[in-house]
Order: sequence, then structure tokens, then C-alpha cells
Amino acid sequence: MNRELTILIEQYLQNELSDTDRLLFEQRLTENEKLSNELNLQQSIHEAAKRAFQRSMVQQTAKRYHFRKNLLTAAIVVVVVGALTAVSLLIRNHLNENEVQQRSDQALKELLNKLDQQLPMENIPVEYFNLGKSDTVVLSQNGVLLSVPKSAFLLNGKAYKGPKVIQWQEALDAATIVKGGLNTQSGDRLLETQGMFGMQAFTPNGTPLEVNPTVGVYVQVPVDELKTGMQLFEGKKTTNGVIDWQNPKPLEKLPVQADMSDLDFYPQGYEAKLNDLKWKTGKKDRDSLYLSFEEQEKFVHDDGELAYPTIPQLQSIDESTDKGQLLFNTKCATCHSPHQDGTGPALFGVRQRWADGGAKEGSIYQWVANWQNAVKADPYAGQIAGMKPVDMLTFKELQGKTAEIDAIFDYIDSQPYGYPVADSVESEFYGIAPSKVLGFWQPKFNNTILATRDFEKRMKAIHGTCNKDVLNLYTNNLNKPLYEIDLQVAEMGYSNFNEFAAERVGAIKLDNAHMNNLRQFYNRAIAELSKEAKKNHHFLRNQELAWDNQLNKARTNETNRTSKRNERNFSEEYAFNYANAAKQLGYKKKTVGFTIRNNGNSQQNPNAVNTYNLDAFVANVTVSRTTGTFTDPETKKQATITYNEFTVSVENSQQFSKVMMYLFPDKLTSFQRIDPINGIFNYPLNNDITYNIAIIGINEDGYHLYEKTACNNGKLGVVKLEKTSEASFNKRIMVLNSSSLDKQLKISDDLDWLMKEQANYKIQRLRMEQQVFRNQLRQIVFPCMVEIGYAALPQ
Amino acid sequence: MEKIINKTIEQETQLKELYKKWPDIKRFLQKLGCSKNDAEDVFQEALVIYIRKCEHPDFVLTVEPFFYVRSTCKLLWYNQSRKHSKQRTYSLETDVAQLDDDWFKKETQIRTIEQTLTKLGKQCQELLQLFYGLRLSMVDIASRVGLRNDKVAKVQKYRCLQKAKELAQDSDLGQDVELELQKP
Repeated sequence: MNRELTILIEQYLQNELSDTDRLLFEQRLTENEKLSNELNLQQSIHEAAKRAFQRSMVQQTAKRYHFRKNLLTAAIVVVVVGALTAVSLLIRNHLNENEVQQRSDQALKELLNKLDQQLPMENIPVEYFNLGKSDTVVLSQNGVLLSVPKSAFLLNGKAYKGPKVIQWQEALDAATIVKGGLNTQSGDRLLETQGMFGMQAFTPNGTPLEVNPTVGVYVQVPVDELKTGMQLFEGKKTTNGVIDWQNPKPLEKLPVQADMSDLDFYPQGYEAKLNDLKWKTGKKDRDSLYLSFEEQEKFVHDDGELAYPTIPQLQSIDESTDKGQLLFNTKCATCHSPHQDGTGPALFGVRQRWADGGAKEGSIYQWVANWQNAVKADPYAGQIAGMKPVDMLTFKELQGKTAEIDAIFDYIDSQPYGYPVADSVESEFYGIAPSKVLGFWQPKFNNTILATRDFEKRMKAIHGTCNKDVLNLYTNNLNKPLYEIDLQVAEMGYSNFNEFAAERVGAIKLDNAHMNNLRQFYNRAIAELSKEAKKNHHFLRNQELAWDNQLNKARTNETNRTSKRNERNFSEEYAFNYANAAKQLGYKKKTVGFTIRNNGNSQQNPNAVNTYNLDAFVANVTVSRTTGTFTDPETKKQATITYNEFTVSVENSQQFSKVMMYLFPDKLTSFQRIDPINGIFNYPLNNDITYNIAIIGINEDGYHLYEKTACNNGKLGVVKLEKTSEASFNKRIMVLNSSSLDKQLKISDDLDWLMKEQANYKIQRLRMEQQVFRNQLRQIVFPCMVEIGYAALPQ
Repeated sequence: MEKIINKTIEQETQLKELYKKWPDIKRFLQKLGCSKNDAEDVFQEALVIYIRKCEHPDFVLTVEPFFYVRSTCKLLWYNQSRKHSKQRTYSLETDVAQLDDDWFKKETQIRTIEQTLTKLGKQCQELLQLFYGLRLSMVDIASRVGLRNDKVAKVQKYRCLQKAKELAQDSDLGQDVELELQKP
């Protein structure tokens, strides 16, 4: 237990050793176990003392808590008495105050008379501020703000904490300066001035105080015009009474501090856009949305290769589910693409562009159908017509169909959009990564230059530079004055930061240890946040992929089922027809071992007279679903299989994403599904079978149904589908299917698939909306992002 | 400097909020068989642990502060009651909370030293607390503790530190012996 050792260790721990001494000490530390033990012990004592302090804090809180609780119960009793005593107390206090006031006024007057003799600038009006012991801010007559920390002054070289009197003179305009006979010379150099002031401080008994150079007094002088390069000069009275201005010092403005939770570090327009879209207002939601744009962050592989993000390809967005895509591909894609100019201009966000460009409302729809008409009606369309040498085609079929045209534009706007440009391999990300912003936007960074209104303003500009090195300059130099960093940024080529530098906003003092802690915390926070972003991104992607896989599986199953069913239906109907024909011909049972006659397998004309084989005849009529007659060459008896024409179409079929017809025959085991051709169902029905018919239309709104029972012929013309709920839809289908002979090929499998398809429309619509939403925001989050489709990226 | 004051103010407001929950905690601990006097000690200890944990850079609060403090109370009370019963029955159950967490292990050591610090003089205690706890400058400490100037305070600080070291080392030895005895 050596006292010198204790002191040495303490100096080491408090970082008071010189560099060489420290290295020496650390050297000893590695060699000497006893020393390191002692160091540990001393550190533990520090911690223990701190802990004791914290415990006393807790005990204080406890005391206050119990006191207040007792007070609360006592308060009810005291209320009446309290009112009376309060009045008398007030009066007494008032008296006392007056007395004291009078006495001290007297003293003060004497003091001021004395101080008036010591004015630094004669002929200039003087003000006095009587300040107490604590930190104070006062405002002078002409609006100069004085902020006086409690330890701002020294008395005989030692800190003075008592009450003080401040003597203040100011000459801020030319008239006062001239009246006061003040000059503006530094040596023989002439100075330009924006005001002069004189300040002296005294103890209440008139002893002069000096300004503590390490603390200082903050003086904020109002000016009409902010001139750059203004400096603070110290006035020295020369022997002939003229003031010589010396020791110029650069001026600094105090950063305006604010709490992190009140500041906004999002990219310019992010909040405004979300408010516009009436998106959730919680900061947590907006933060996590902002963070989700981190998906695009890593563009450089570990080996330094420039890489591009994986292209989000969702399998289940296809033409059958998206009308807009279908229309785009059939009508527009030959000349237009979403992001690249071709024969026609790129169409991404075209509605917004037209609206921004001042086009008349609705003229874009006119344009799509017939651009010449639009040119006549809208001058903006006239400008557009001059854009490309090749005239656009006209699409008369889209005349007035705004819903369809919107579907096309919706599809275009949902196309993956944009990637940040990496300007070289070294800069991994040409933009400010959200994690880097959210990393410091935390209460931990309160009371740093980052938690200031001034930095808030700069942050908007930093987003505009899209250069993370700019942000790093600020986050890595928490103890530097802001204007120094501004200048550095301006040197990097961002000249708009010169304006910030001209404001000369200073630093917020921060000790090194704390700064290092914060820096470590920041780096950890960034890593954690980007990990989280990645995780969320993967989670969402996997969820989407899982849905797509499920749907694709359902679709494959459906295809398998359909082909199986078709096969079975055919063989059953064939058997049915055969039996029917045989009965008409008077065969007792199916002939086995007949003679193959000439042209027996004719596919060309099953109705021709030279068809001799009953098997072939039945097969032919069943496949072609046409009426045919067979004559037995021996008995000359005739058998006829009749197929009746049956056509039907659906009113407004384009409003459904999928329309199909189900037939439930009474003499066959399975139902049949028929798809329309050009919107018309054309399927001849077997005259000897009765069918229940259901026509189904599905879209994202739900299920629509038309049913007809016991039918085997007819031209139903155009029918209207009625909307039904999922439950009643299921029930109806089950009823229609009830006459079917065999339940082996279950309709419920088909229903399941239909439900899945129906759900898919909703999901695809949501995905599309999400994509459009994110496309809009992505441009705001990464303002330097170029408009380019993923398809155009080099792979 | 200002930052530490701010932090202290922040901690004080937090403590004030948490202390309002004292009746809840009291009921909770009494249910676990803790007497009223012990309960307040346990609660205060838990609060100390809470604010110290919060200062730890790796610490991420996953639950509401109140729930964190409550579960710390539970843990501390279990430990304490187990220790008492250990003295009676010489049961060899291990002190789970203290062994499975390095931080808690260290914290227990610091707490032991903190208790030995109470053997110091009042002025010494205050001086060390103000310096290491509130990080006040020597000038400020001198005026608060009532010493002539910062130089005197600095000398006094070394004296106190030296004394504390001796005390801690003594109790440290004692503790080691105790542990040795308990091992078999």
C-alpha cells in the first residue's frame, strides 16, 4: 500500500500522465501482476464511490417520495388554515422585501455612482444588471443577449460564484458611435464595425472581476445584415484616450439545442409526402418504414466487386392476374417501356409528370385513346406531341375507358424502380443509408452538436449530397465547432455548405471519453439497424415467395386435376353414347370382336356414309361434339347421337379477372369446367344428358354467380352474374353438384383453388400498391437515385 | 460536465417515476415473504442496479423499466433469503444470479466495496462520491465539502482513496477466506 503508487495509478486512470509516462506505466502493468491488481482495486473503488453516489440519489428520491406522500395526506387538513396563513405570510414577506430592497438600493446607488467613474467608453449610456449566483441570461436595451454562466468570472485569479453587477455599454449604430467619439482603428488599419460594446463585472461591493477565459460570457449581438468575416476585437485605451482595437478573434454562434425527439432528420419531403398520403404518423412507424429502404444498401461485395441488388421478381404477377400488365404488353410494350426511352418515351410516373407539367385534368386519357384529339384540347399535349419523331398509334377501343388506362399506368408505376448510383467501387453506397441517420437519432446523442436545430438544417442538405462521407464528417467530429465541419464539407465540393459555414455556429463541449463512447455506440447502432433491416427485408421476401409457391402449387394441382377429369369425362361420355347408340341399333350388348371395315378409323368425316364401325363413330361424335347418325350396314337400323348448340356470354365480363363455366351433368360422374373463348362459352351439350350450369366470375371484390338448372340446349345470350358471398357461393355449387353420381372428383378441391386465386388478386393488388408507394418514397429517400429499371441493370 | 449533470437530472426524474410504484413493489415483495423493512432495501438496491445497468453501453432495456426493476427485486430477494437460509442450513445451492452473469458478479464485488466505504469519514465519503459520481471539478468539490481550495481537496482525495484501498483490501481478504470456507 504505497501512497506514491496510488497517486500514479490515479493519474493514469484520470488520464493525467504524459504520453511517455503512460507507455512506461502500461509496460510496467503487463509485467507486474501486483500493480495490475492494485489498478483493478482502485478502479473498483471508483465504481464503488459512484455507486454510493447513486445510492444516495435513490435514498434522496425515497425521502422526497415519503415526504410528498405525507404532505398529501396532511394537505387536506391544512387547506383552510393554509389560506389564512398564506395571506399574512405574503404581507410579511412583502414588508421584509421592501425593507431589504430599500437598504440594498441605498448600497447599490452608492456602488453605481462609484462604478460610473470607471466607464470604458465615455459618453455612451450605461446599463447595469444585478445578477445572482446562478446562470443568467439578460437582454440589453438594444436587444443584445448576454448569457452569464455562474462561474464566468474570476476574483483575483480564482473562480467567483457570488452575486455580481454587470456594467454594460453598447454602441450598435453609426449615430451612437459618432456621438460617443469612438474610433474604428486597429493600429493604422481602418475597421468596418457592426457595433461595439463594453462590459465590466464587479462584486456587490465594487471589486472588479475578470472574465474566466475557460468559461466566458456569451454575447449575441443583433445585426441587420450578416457580414462574413466579422471578428471580435478587444479595445485597449491608448495613453491619449483613443481606443485601439486589437486581438481579433473569430465569432461563433451557439448551436440551438433541441431534444432528439423534436428534431427531424428525414430526407427533405419524406414527412410531407407521408402526410400527403395520410400514412401513419407515429415516429416508430415512420422510422421503420425509413429503415426498410436500407434494402438497397450493400452494393459492393466483400471482394470489392460492384454488385446490384437482387431483382425482386414475383412469380405470380402474370397477365392472367393483372389486367394492366396484359394491356400494357399487348398495346404499349412495342414502343414504350417503364423506365427507358425507346420509340416512345418512358412511361414511369407519367400521370404525375403530366399533372406537374400543367396538363388539363383527364387529357392524358384522351391522349391514350386518340392523341390528336388531345393535342387540340390541351396545349400541354401539344408539347408532348413534339417529343418524338414517330407518331403514336391511336387506340380507339380505349376511348373513355379510364379504368383500363389507369390499370396500365398502375402496372407501369409498380415496376421496380431505380438504384442509387455508386460513383466508384470505393464508395459502396452513393446515398445516406437510413441506418446511419437512425443510428444517431436517439436520446443518447442529446447535448451533442447533432441534437441541434442547426444540424437539423444541415441534415436536409446532407441528404441532398447523397454522400455518406459528408455525414461521417459530422458524426465523427462531435466536439468540433459546426462551422469548421461546414468548411470541410464545402471544400469537398459542396459549395452550398459555405452558407452554413458563414453562420459560424460553434461547438458543444464534449469530453473525449464521452465522445468515444458515443462513437462506439453509433457504430454498434448502425450495424444493428442494418442487420434488422436486412432481416425484415428477407422475412417479407420469404413470405411473398411462400405465397407464390403455394399458389403455383395450387395451379399445378388444378392443371393435373383438369386433365384427369377431362380424360375421365370423355371416356364416360363415350361409354354413355355408345350404350345409347347400341340401344337404338338393338344390340343386346357390346359386340366383341367385330370386323374392321374399310376406312374404319376415319377422322376426316365421322358422318360420312362410309363409316362402318360403331366404336369409331361414337368416338368421333364425342370428340367433335356434333350430331351424327350411324347406319348399321347389315340391319340398316339407324342410331343418332344428338348434340345441341349451347352458347352463352357474360355481361361486362372484363370486370372479372377470371370467368368460367361449370357443367354438372346428371349421367356422368364428374363436373366439367369450360373456359370462354373471346368472352363466349360455346360448348354443345349432349341431348340425352341434363346439365346444371354455373357461370362464375371472380375478381378482387369476391364471387359472382349465374346458375341454370336442368338444361341441355339453348342460346342463353348475355347473362348477368350476381355477386354472392363466399359461403353462399360454396353452398350453391354444392347443390348444383349434388346430382353428380360420384363424389370422387371433388368439387371442393376446385373451390379451394378458386378461393386461392381470388385471394391472390387481393394480394397482388396490395403488392402493387405497396410497390407504387415505395417507388414514390424511394425517390425522396435517395434523392440522387437515377430513374432506371432493374431490367436495364448490367447483370 | 454539463452532460453529467443533465444525465443525473434525467436519472433523478426516472427514479422519481419509479418510486411512485413503491406500493406495488411492496405488495409484490411481501407476497414473496419479505418484511416491509427489507422490502424497501431490496427495492432501493434494485433501483441502484437499474440506473447502473442503464449506464452500461451494451444494456438494452427490453421491458418497461418498472418490470425490469420488479424482476430485479425478485431476484435480489431470492438471493438474500437463500443466503440467510444457507447460514442456517449450510445448503450448497449456488447463487444463480451472481454466477451466471459476469456483470452481476462484478456488481456484487463493487457493492461489497461500497459497503466498506461507509467505514470512511463522512467528508471522505462525500468527496469521493462527488468526484467519481458526479464528476465535479476539484474547485467545486472544495467549496461543497468545505475545504480551503482545490489543492487541499486534491490532497484530501488521495488520502481518502488510500484509506479506502486499505479498507477494501482488508475486507477483500476476509471475503476470500469466507469463500474458501464455503467451498467444500
